[in-house]
Amino acid sequence: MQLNPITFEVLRNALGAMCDEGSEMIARLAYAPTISEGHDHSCALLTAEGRLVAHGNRDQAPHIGSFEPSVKVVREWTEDKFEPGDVYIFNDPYSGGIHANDVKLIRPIFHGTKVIAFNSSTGHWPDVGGALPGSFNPRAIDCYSEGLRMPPMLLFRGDEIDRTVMTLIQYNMRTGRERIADIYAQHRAGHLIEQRMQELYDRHGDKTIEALFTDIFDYTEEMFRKQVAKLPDGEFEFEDFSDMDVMHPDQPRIRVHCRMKISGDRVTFDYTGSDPAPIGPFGFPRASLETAVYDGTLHCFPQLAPLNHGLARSVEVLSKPGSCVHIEEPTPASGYASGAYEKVAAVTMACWANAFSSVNSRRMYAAGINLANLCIGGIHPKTGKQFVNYLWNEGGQGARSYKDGNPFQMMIFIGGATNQPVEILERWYPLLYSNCEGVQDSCGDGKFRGGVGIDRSFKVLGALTMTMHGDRAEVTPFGLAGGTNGGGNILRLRRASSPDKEEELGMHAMGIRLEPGDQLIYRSNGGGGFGDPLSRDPMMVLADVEAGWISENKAKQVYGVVLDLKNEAGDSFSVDENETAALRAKLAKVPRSRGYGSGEVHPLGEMLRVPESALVAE
Amino acid sequence: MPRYVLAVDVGGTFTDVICFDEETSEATVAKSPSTPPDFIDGMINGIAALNIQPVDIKLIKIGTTIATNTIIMRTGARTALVTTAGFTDVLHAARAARPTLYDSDWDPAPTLVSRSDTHTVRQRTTYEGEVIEDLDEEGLHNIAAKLREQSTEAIAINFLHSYINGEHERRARDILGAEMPGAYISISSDILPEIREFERTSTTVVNAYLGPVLDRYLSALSQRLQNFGYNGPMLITHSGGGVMSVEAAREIPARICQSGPAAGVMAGANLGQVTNRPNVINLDVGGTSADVSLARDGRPLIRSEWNINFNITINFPSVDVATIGAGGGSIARVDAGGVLKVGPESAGARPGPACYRQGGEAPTVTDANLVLGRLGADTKLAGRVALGLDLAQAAIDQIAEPLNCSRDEAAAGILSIMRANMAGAIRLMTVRRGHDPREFALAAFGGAGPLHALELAKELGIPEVVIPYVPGLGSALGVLSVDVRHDFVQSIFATDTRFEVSEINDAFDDLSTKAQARLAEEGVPEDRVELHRQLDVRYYGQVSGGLTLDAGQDKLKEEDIRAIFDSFHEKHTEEYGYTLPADLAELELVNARVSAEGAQSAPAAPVFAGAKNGEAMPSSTRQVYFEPAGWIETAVYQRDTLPAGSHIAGPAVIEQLDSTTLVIPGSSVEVDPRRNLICRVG
Repeated sequence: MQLNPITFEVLRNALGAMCDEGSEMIARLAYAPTISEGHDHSCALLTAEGRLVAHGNRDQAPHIGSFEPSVKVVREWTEDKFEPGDVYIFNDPYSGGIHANDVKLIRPIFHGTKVIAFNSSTGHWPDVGGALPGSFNPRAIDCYSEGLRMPPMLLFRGDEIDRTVMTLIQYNMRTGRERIADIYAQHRAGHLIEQRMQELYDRHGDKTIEALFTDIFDYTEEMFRKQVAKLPDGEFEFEDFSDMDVMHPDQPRIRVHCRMKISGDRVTFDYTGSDPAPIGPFGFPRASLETAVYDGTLHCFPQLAPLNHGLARSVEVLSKPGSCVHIEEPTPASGYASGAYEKVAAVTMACWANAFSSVNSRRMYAAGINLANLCIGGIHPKTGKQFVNYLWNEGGQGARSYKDGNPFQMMIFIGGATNQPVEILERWYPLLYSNCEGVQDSCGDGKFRGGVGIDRSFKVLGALTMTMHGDRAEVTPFGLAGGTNGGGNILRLRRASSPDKEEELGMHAMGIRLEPGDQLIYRSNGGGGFGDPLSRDPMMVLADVEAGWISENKAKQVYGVVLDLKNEAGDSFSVDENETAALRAKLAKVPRSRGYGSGEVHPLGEMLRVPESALVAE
Repeated sequence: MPRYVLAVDVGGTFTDVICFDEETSEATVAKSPSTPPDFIDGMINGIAALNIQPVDIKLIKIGTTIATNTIIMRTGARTALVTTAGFTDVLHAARAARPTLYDSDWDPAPTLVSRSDTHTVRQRTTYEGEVIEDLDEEGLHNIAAKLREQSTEAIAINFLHSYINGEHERRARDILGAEMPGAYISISSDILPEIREFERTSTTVVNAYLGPVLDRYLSALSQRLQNFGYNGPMLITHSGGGVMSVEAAREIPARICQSGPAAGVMAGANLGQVTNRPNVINLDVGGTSADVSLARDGRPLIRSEWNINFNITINFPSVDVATIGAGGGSIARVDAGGVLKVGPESAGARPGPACYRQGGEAPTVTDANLVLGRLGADTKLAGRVALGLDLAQAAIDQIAEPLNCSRDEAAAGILSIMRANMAGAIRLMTVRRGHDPREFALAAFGGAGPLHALELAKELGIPEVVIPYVPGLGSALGVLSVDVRHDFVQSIFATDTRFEVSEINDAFDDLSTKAQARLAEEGVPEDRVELHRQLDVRYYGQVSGGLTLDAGQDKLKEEDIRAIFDSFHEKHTEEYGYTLPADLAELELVNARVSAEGAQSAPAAPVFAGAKNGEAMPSSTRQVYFEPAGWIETAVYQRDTLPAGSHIAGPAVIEQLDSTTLVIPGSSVEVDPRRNLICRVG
């Protein structure tokens, strides 16, 4: 380390604080509810060579790993020729990572005439054009129907917006006019980061700041390698699946497979065993694969956050170009977050769980809720104006090796995001909600169970169009060490014209026309369980039934716990200990069904062996 | 005639009382150990220690942590939540967020109402206030039967969109109230008529949860004061930086959750006012944490939302205080990568810093200050035995070794990281919101605030530091200075192209009537009532964000409202550096706000009696370590001997019972007529 450790800590915190500041500013100024209410945005600082140094504390993990490749593209595009006040807009998935909705503004940060760093911000825009409102296209066979793909375009010159570029953007998106507000929000954040960096430079000098950048990378790498060295050498394997390649005639599952190798202080994630790219959406480009691996890794090494180049250069990731985790143009990318990203992050964490199992029993996590993007658009019957509404659900967290997963959590990669208030949604969009309620029995079961998913069903009040782009209706969040897989994502339609019939829409429903009064049943995954459900403390099962998380029936069938009713109201119970012991002995002889669906036991997950003594409740 | 106004701050360890004589403006103080769980004995003892006749007391103002403690310790009433059918988990899901990105071990704090105690009833109102499903009254009777069986003490009622139509909530309150006399019931349309179901529910639940506890506490307190011989009025400090009557506190106890920090902020604002420094940054550094807040033009910054835990939100206007884990007890350690970290872990009061001789071994900020001579070895912190320099040195050596530096450098390193953490919090509070710290004075409170304030000010370019005569009694000083204040808000739905002047005026009239009625109940003379009317405006399309703009005092005409909209653009440029292109710049009116202030008594600018004239004379000298100079022979003064009007040049140490002020080389200090220290930072 070049700086003394005290200066290092002081200045490193200053970099994080300026990114937090920029990120908050984006949320405050943006129009897109995805950003202002959902917090699907990020703000990062990179070195002049394009290496990631810092990002906001509550930014979105999938954005963060895409900053380095995106800045690289801009630098190559411009041959590193920049003027003060230049700001580029960019969203190409294949070279930058992620999908077209995540729009970046990239700003060279000047001190005098020299570029000393880059700022890149990302905002998830509710629509970037393409076939359908919201730009998610679950039946896309190429990227050309997923919205406007932008190479680096000079959007601000001397901090003045370029009208041509701005109008091009506006013409190609639904509610394009509102995106101008989002552009300004991101632009102001970059402007602020530049001011902060200039102040820091003036105070501490270029030598110190450049040394700081190098030190941050060295420090993170050293911390990471030291901890990897403590884990046993070996190979650890895990796999997970998407429900289907929806555009393939046979609609086969899509396999994501990882073989993790630890040797001394080196770690390699070999994803070459994953399936070839599907015809339809699911996959993501190489940069997102790396991001998802970093994301899963940081969940097992939370003290190394925030992500920076030091961790990135310490992890080796192998993939086959043209595979589902390394797609190439024109394979569709918009649904990557509900597809490959979620699977790779979960699989990476499951590999780490195997490595940690003999060393630290508190770094093992079953899989949790999978994103299910629901986009609704049309003309608002009251205002006569066009709208696009992008909805998502919170859901169940996977069980931890020492504790239940929590209900009502955002997806693992989007911890800083929030749900959207029903009252706000109803005020802005022609929707009438019927539920905000946990889905009973949707948890995966185990000694520790997953959190339950949520039911956010609603009626539409206008003639609208709906698209769902999700996953894990069939292959649900996996359990570990004998815990069962969680409940599925659900989307059903009950037409106002035939209210007794529920139509299964599934996770790839496209362009469904809805009439006023039609009801969408929209429910999210519960998390996977951890350990054998028969070893769960019966008193915890009792508490779950009384709180309504699980039914009496599930308590009996899955946990082998027999309850006696204590009151007339039917909500107070006691455990029948004799019957419970007898039932558990009987159930222990029946092997659980192995597989990837809800209530089954994931075959590789089951092989995670943890000494019983390590599985102690917190 | 009664002549004394008492300000009481009931803290976790001590109860502080300041007695202000309205006739002479002289102030005296008393301190007494706090007496949990009800804290009343400690308070009576503190008042008794003043040696004044109860009949001479005119008014007692109280700041108390009882509401905060009740929530933190989860010792509130068993509370039920009644809400719209289908929406059981609005409270339990909260906003579904996590505080950090990569922490799967994080858990939300337990909710104040269990899921089993959450009941639903059929009813539905739309966002426009139209009832589309009637209230299921029979369902409510069934719920009442169950709640009676469970001896539920408190009930929170929240229905969707009740901020625009509270009829169902009121009806539900009447039905449950009739079935359960004695239950404490809060309805969200009364407590917080604002859009966003989670925030409104959470605030209402906090209120109900605290209701019975505060009710018992306030009754017992009134009774004990009567027994003591005091029958006069009593006011309670609330989170918005004001005081309110006991009756109001019974109705909206959730408003007093942040009364301690709020009082601290008001102390700084008041200190700024009496020293002619209307822009003040407050720094209050205690044992485990530091509070940072801001007063501009004599008024504290207020925010509309704060969280007592990450997922437990109270959306009442509240003074904006940032708390960071940086205090005297903050522990320093060297991590696996060889980097020095300070806090947020704290040695607390037990075992405390190593130098407390209570078995603590970890190096803390206090140990660093002692090793560097900034604290004297004979300082008796909080009445404890003299500090152990040898223990502090041994503790600091634990980190000097892995850092490969000298003991002095390691101790100075701890202080510089502590300072950077505090500076970060101040920058967030100022620079981030468009305030330039160089236009502010820094007011230092708490045992450790004056010890760090000058160096911190220098780092931030703040020209002056102001230190009250009793920095350790910051909250009590604040309680003394606050007036009756209430904040009322009403959601409005209008834009700059579609608004009804009458609707906006009606909203202001309603809020003003409510505000005046409340102040009248609290005995504020009409000529002392001051109403501030504001409108929240934002770009149409922004979901959060926006600006709060002044709406003047008079009935608004159409052109007034247009002028307010026009001022938005200018203010937006000031705050954010741009305005949107005209075709995007439709504006939305979100809320009308009325805050009402009134003084029950004359403004208090206390003068602490003591030595009157002459020069400041040091009591001794000692070696103190400064950066970058190193060890310097430094004069030590005793605060209570410093005459008004005297001057001291840095370097110097000024000691007093509950605090130490470090005057860095190049700085100077003037003792003002009220015996505050005005330090010019050099």
